[in-house]
Amino acid sequence: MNISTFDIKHKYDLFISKKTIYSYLGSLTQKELDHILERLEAALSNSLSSRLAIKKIYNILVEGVQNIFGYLRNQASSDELLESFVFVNEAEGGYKIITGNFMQKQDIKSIEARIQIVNSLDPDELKDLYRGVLDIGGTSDGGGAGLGFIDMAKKSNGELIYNFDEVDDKHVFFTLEMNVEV
Amino acid sequence: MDNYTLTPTPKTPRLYFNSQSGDFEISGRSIPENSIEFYRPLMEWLDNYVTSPSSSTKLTINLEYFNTSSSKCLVEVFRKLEKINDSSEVKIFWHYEEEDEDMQESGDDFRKIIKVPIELVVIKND
Repeated sequence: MNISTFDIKHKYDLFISKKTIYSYLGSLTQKELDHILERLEAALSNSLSSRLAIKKIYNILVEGVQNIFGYLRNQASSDELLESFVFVNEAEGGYKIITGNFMQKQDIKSIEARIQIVNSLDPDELKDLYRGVLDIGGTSDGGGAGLGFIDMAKKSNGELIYNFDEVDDKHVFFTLEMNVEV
Repeated sequence: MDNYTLTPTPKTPRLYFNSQSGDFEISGRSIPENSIEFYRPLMEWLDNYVTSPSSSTKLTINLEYFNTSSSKCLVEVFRKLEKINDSSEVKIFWHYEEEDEDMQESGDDFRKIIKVPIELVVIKND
């Protein structure tokens, strides 16, 4: 198996349901990124009545999708690698946000370490970590603020659920799920 | 020196920086993919401003959304203002919508790490 034969559609179909209020499957280019954010906002406005809830979910989604985009932009490789998906599904007490994207196998360790750290912290500790990283300044390896996962963990309730599916000897498919109470 | 102004877009905020009056504003949305690039001209403008600031400097922040890379840039903006804390009366007004706990908490975060007075201003919903 390789990136072109990995069945991303099958993976995507696993998450789609009657509770899906927004989903996207396709190439995460700059142009698509802008469209995704526009359509996402429209979908949220149509299905949610609370403006604050819309704000919260949109904020997390922007962070999540830009996190992936920032990562993929730094991987100078094929267009196939940009194939990704995004979901907002209704869930008990709120919403479930799911993202899926390809990743270099060599990056598993650092991503997993970041997620495990934020998952091990309680809300106050997350707040302290966020402030600490904000205070230090500078940018992370991915060119971002190094705050993405911390922010997503802070704004979602409970832990970040993640999974790596084997693709080939260099790549995995990374899925990230977050529950947001509104 | 000239003022620095920028009209807002769906992903970038309105920037209004008046060198004479010291009235500054960042409002709207700040979710560009490359925040550092977006804020760079403003940083350069501020480097110039801090050499001869107005007697009072008031920065209003009224953001609907911002991403984490923008939050790092905001820290940099605030740090520039820390430099003139002695020569100009500096104050930052962080606006947040009533019940928007995330935005309120963000204001609090900045208040804890920045050595310039930051006042949290609640925008009431009618």
